[in-house]
Amino acid sequence: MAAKKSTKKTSGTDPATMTFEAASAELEEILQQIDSGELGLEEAMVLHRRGQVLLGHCRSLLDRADQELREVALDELDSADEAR
Amino acid sequence: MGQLPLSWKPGDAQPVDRPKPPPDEPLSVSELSASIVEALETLPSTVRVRGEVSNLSTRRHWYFSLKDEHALIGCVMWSSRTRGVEDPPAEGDEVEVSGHIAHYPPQGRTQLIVERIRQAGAGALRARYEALCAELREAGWFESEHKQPLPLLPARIAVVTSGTSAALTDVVRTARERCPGTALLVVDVRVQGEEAVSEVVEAIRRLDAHRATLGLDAILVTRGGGSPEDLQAFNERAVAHAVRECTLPVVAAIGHESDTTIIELVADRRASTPTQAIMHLLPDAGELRQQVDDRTQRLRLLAGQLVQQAAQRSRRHVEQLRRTMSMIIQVRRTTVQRLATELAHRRPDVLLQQRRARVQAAVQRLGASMQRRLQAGRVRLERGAESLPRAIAASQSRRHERVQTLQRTLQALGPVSVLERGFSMTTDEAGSVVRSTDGIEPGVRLTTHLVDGRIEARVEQVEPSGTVEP
Repeated sequence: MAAKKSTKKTSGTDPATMTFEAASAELEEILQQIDSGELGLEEAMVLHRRGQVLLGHCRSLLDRADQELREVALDELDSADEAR
Repeated sequence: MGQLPLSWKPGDAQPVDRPKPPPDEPLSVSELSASIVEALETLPSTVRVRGEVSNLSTRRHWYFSLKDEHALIGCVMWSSRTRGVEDPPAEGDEVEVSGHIAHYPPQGRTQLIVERIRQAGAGALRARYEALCAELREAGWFESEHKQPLPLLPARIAVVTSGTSAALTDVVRTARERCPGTALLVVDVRVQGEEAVSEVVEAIRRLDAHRATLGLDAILVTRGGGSPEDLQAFNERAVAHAVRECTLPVVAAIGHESDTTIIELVADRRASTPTQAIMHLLPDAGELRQQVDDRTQRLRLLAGQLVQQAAQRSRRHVEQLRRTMSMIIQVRRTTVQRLATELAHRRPDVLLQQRRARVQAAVQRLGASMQRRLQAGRVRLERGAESLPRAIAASQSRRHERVQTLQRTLQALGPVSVLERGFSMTTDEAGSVVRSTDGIEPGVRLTTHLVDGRIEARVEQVEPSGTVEP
């Protein structure tokens, strides 16, 4: 479900370059837009696709942060071993 | 002591180089005086005399006599010398003086020119000691706050003592045993008698002045046991001063354990014996090594503990940081989860479903509406169907009447009445009324309608001309 196109009504920024906060803020906006009910079906679909991409980006950012934390913990173990 | 080392009788010792007067001639007073002066010059330059003070006059120069049970001698001490005397003698005091004998011819007086004087009696010595002790104690010289700490491991110690004493032997032996690494610098001084004070004072001052060049860490002043008089030098104010002013730590061990001299009270540390004194100054090398080993061990242990604690602390910090970060991520994950759920609710297929439902609803609404309309139509129809026959009948009868009227009119005007009146009407094979001869040719079948029937005929001849007569 990775649509790369971005059209009107979205920020148009490449999600890959967005910060977590920017991406989640745009997601909120998209939800509001869809909720407003003023959109045509096609527009709503485009926004939804964009929302999915942003969601994926947010998740990957969180996963990466989690991964880094785990790596730090591992490093800690390593250095503790060296100290011994 | 206390006796002139002199056995001299007047006229006994004649100077050799003087011209001898004739034996039978008497001497002049001057000659005798000169002889006495000369004879006195052969005496040792300094004599020490002990005796009781009498006829004391201390105006500018001190004049007094020294006497014992059998003799008396006049003494003078010039004011330049009296200034240094700590405790001036009093009438009847037992004193020890040193100086030289001089004869003063103008007055025919032979007297002792005193250079130094000090109290000599045991009681007097004791009194002097106590007075100085009290004074110095009052001045705070014995206070521990003035005591310097001894060096932990001195590199070099000066030992101020008699070079031939047993005390020195003890000190050297003990030093070799305990700490062979420490060097001893022995300063040989007299430790009793007249010169002891100045030599000890000099030794302490010079050692202190050259402490850096000599590489000294401490001074040990010591001597073995002796009578109170023997130890007197170490009760002198000058010695106490020297020790007090000395910047090097001074350890003193004078006499036996029961003796406490003033130098020991002023010193940074006192010891009962020379051996004890050097033991205070020198650590036992073996013991020292053991201490170093112990401390090294403890240090290693402590360092290990510190490292462990630091590691633990750092681990705790890392763990804390990790937990905080995890929490931050968790919060965002919850947000993302919510967003995902909300976005899922807005999935196009849901929207589509909604749209479809809406269309369905519209269709249903449409159907219902049509139904309603149909129903209305039906009702209307039914209602119509009820009134229709009547209406139709009415309209039929109206039409009927009208038809009859028309029939009547028509009959009045129509061909029948015309026919009744004798006219006929001809039609062609197609049934059309023939109104002209045009198109009629011989052989064509025609029908002639009469009022009471018709005649089928065939055309024989056509003659288009004038009009038919009614």
